[in-house]
Amino acid sequence: MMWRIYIPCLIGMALAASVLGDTTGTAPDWLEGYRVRFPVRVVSDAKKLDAKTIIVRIPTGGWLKPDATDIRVCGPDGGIIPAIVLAHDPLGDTIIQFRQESKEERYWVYVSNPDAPGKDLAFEARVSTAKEASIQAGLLKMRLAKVSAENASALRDLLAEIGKQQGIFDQASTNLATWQEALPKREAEHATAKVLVPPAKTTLDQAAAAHAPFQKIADEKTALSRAASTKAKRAQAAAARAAQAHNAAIGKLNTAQQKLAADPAPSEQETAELNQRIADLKSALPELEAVVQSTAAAAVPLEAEAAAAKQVATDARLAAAPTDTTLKQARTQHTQLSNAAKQAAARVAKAKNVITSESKLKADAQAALAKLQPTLPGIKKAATDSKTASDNAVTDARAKEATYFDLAAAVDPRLLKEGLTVEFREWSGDKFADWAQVVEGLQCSDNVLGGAVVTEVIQNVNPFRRADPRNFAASYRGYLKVDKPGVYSFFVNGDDATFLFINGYKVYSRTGTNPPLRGRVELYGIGADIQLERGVHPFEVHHVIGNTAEATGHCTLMWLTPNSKAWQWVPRTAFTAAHIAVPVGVEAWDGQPIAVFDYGIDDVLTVDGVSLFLTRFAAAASPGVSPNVTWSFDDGTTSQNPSPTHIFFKEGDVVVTLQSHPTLPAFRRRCHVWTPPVPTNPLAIGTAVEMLSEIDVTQLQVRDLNDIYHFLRLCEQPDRWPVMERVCDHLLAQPELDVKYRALLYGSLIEAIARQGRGTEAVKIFDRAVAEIGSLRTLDGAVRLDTAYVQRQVLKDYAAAGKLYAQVIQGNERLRHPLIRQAAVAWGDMYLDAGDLARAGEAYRLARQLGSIGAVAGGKTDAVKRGALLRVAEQQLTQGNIEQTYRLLWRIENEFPEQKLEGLYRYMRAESDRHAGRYDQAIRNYEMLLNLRQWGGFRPQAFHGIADCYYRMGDSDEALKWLTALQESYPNEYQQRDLDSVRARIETRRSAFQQQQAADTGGDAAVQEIPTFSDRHVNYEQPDDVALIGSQRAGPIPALGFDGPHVVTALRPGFGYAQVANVSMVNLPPQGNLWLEMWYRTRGTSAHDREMIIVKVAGDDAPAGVVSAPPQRTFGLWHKIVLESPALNTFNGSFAVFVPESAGILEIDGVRVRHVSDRQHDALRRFVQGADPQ
Amino acid sequence: MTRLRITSSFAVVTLVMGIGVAVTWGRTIIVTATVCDRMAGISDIAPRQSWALSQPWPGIYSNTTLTIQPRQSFLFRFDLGEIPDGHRIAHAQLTLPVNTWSGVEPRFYLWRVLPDWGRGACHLYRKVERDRKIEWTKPGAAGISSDRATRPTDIVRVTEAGDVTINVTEDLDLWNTGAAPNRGWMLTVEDPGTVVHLLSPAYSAAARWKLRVTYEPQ
Repeated sequence: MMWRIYIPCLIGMALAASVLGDTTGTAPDWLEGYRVRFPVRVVSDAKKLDAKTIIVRIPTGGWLKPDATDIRVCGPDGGIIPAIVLAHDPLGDTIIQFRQESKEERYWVYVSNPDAPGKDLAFEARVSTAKEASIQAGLLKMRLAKVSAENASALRDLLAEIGKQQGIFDQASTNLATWQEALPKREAEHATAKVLVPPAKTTLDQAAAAHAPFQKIADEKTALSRAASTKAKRAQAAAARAAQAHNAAIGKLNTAQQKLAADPAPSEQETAELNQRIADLKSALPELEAVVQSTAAAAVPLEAEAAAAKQVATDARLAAAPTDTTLKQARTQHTQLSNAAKQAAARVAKAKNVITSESKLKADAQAALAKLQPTLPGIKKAATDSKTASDNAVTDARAKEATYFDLAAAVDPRLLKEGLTVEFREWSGDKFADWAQVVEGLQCSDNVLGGAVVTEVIQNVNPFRRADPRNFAASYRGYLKVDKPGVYSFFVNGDDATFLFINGYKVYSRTGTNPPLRGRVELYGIGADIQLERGVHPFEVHHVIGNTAEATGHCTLMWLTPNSKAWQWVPRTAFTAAHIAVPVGVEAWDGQPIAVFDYGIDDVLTVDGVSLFLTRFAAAASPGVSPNVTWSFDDGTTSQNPSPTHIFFKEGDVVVTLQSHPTLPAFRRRCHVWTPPVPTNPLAIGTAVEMLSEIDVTQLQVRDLNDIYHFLRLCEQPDRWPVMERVCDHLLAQPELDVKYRALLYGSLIEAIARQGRGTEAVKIFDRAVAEIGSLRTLDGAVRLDTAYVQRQVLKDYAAAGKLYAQVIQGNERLRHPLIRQAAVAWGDMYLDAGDLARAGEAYRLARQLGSIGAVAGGKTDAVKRGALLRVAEQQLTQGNIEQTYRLLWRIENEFPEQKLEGLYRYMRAESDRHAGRYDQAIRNYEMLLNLRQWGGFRPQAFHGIADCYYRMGDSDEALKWLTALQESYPNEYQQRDLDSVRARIETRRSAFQQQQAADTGGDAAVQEIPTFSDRHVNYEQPDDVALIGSQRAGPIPALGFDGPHVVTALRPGFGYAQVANVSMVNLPPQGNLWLEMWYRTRGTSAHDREMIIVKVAGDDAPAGVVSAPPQRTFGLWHKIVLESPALNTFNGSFAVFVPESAGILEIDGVRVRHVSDRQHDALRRFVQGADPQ
Repeated sequence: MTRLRITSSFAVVTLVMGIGVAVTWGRTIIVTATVCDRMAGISDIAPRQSWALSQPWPGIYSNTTLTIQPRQSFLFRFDLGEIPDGHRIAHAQLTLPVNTWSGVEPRFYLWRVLPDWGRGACHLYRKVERDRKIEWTKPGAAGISSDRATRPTDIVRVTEAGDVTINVTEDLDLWNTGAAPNRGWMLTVEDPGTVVHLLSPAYSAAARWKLRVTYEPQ
């Protein structure tokens, strides 16, 4: 049972009056006939905001007339203050606006008076007439302003074009004159240069002719010289070769002689051979010498001939040198003069071209000017006239507006032109091709979904129906503050149709089915222009989305201010703002307690197509008031819990009612069930079971009960059995239920009853099930299997279980069905539990003979498949992928049950259990591994695994014991794993624990245990909670909060961050993580993406870790933000929460940090994988 | 004592299984998809029974593949009139030819359908009007225990192309005994991002979907 509402107590009442401020002050007398009132209080920053009106959103859910005309506002003196309804949701909130009186901050809003007088029709008719005149004058003003803007734009464009053409004309004239002056000079230069070229050519030719004979002789002589030289070189080479041969023969002779002389005892044969060789060489030497001499002699004349020929050639070249020099000089001069002539010609050509082009430009500009200038007077006059007309219309409109204002100001605070609100409706129209069709559609769209105070026209969703972004209309109404008069462009970017009206005049429209523009938006051509004078202009943006599948709900108002070059969102500073007030309580006329309520989606649990939407409801009453409440959840169920979490089973709208007063009608609110984009809290599974236990499930539809049953089967929560029993009981009483489903229900019912310690009763249910479905062999077998499981696991009656297993196998020997094998496997499991490994092995082998479980496909052999699965599982375990390891182990034990007796399988099972936080199961598997003697190689790992499990379970003594055992038995393993550091960590933690214990108990450690940190809840209802804020920038304010009658908010909205909680934690568990949840809502808040809610988590000596998440624009609804931090590996820790100081009001309530264990995380992971994890 | 009792029971059962395997007296029939009297493709995008998959005209199945993917399922029903009265099911298996797929070892589910979903006709390319429409409890017949059985008949992990054989003994037993009406089966893919293509039910004589039923006297 969760009791989150503020429980009245002396402390709380004192708190309300002292720490958290006065909530109501002296209340005025009750207005006649009214039965409910809300004290409200201004919360916006009065120092910064100089507003004259107040906007407040009141939870009126069903307590007003359909048109809300019976709502009233009083000041502290009891005087009625005229108020206007800005948005009214009959099943939700009503937004009203009224004038602030003398800076007063406290008011009372009255509702629930069926006999309240209606409207003053005569007065309203006068106001209506004046208003119509003002509107018409305003429309005329806007029309004329539009015309004036268009004429001004036309004049601006014409003048710009004339200026441009005149500039072209002037520039062309100047250029033309310059070039025309330059042309003759260039032509003269060209003529002069051109004359010099022919004589130079003649001189060149003459020099060439003179040089030609000399060059010819020189070439011939040079050729002869080269030939003679070649011959001489060849002769020299022959002489050299002969000399070389002669020298070689002499060398060989000397060698032979030396060898003969050096050998002290040569053999006769050697001596003879050497002598013969010496003789041969000596005989050859004269001939070689003769050759040397003859070749040397032959070379001498050839060398002389070559030298002579070379001299002749040199002489010939010297003779040609003078003419050659003359020729080169003539050639150089000719080249220079030719180039000069060409350049002069090019300069002339360029001048002529420029003159031609400039002449054309000048002529074109002249023609354009001749065409444009005659139109200038007319357009200038039109612009002047329309400006005058527009100014006159402005004057007239102001006069008519003043008339209307004088008449209606007392009753219509909107005339003070403050505040920006939005109302969302369900779109019931079917066309939006033009404004008339939209009006027609809006007139039949009566279903108001909600309204909110906002600061900008920015939306990316339908905030009141987030599950479906289609078929809605949003209408923004506010006031645009123009400081700089001029022509503005506006553009409303959104899905489908958008319209912008300023001063009642339609400035922009985009009709039909459209996607919003994305990415870079062109500067011109998409918006609409309007001239706006300085002042405040009423505006409306209407946005309609039809049944467009791709729609997202996007809509933004963008503008292009005078002289700006980029589209931008119209900033919040461009809108006038009103003060924001919040209801700080709710009172009944008879003094009895009364409450309203808010809601928020807490968590969504989705599995196998079944979704459980855990929706949190919070009854809100005045401080110190605790009414008895009765909820009705629109599904047949009720609750008396002041702050229940109710479970819905599908997205969409439900109308929930809260009865808190004996005679008043129930407070009614339309609640939208959807899936918020936040992570699911692992503890939500337990919460869901707890909440299901509180409701009368017999009131639910069978469809919902089916979903509940599926959830309960998968949720693994130990306290689910009572509700499981009720659900099964009720479902089994339903007619026409599928027979297989009934068999499953019987199995679950038997287990549920047995788990609650009623074994005998469970057996009776088994008999009932067999009587009903015993004739169906497979279902009978399934029920027996389920019952055997209960006998074995719950009742520990192994004999009975064995008997049932035997019946399944024995009674269906001819039935080929997987359950026969399942029975054998389960039987083996039972032997395994009993420690009889041999019998277990036999059972598993028998199971293997009973066919396969599941479909048959593929051709791989069992050995290959089993080996592959084991290898992949081991790999996945090494990589830390526990989910995949689990799945693979599941496949292995189903397809190859005998593997359950193998050490590698058992080790992987133990390791994956340990990493998943299932420490007790892990220890059991490690111990089983230690019993498998043939797998002794895994013993060190098992020792370490057990020690780690005990450490994480918080049993430091046992962990140290196993570490010591490991150190003594396997010292090398101990060293390799560096387990000294682990030991040190455990001892440090134990020491911290003992110190804390000593400090808490004054040394008597036996007296008190230090509780392990599990939960810290801050709702700002107690002085201790308020002290935790720890910041001057934030503080509690009285409000109808989501977790008691106070919320905390930034006190001076701006652009910084305010700390809203700073909490210490003691004895943090050494595993799991910290899960922070916080409820918030925005009222007129401009929360941008860059703004985050930040949580800093720090340990004893560990630096702070930071996690953050962006808040959304909630449009006044409560949303939950979730932040998750890894577990701190220290004994103590703290967390601090910071929120952005946005404009508007960001309310925070129900801050809660809980420790979520690894086991709980794993339970959620397994749950979301469903009944058949992949 | 407990262990002793367990041991003796186990020995008896082992003996009985040995005898049972040696004796057979059942008859086996094989029916193919040509006797399927109802087929329809459904999508959970449409809340009602909507479009169909692969039968252009009665009795002529021209399209070659049947695509099952998340939000797109296939319903079919075999006429079991060939099983004579007074017999019980000993074994039944459904054979489906898997053609191609996307995803790593994708899985498809076979479910027993619970409500009557009409006659149905199938076509890949055009929407077919049928004699009646049914409001499923959840779009796509996703309502567990109301649209489809509480647990799937089987989950098939596809590892290679070819025939997949699924044990459907229990479903046939329920239908044959009249404990549950024969509303046929539904093929679904539940894992996101996976697609399974089967050869269409009556693609060819060799690759035709088959239901093999062994029955024996009561």
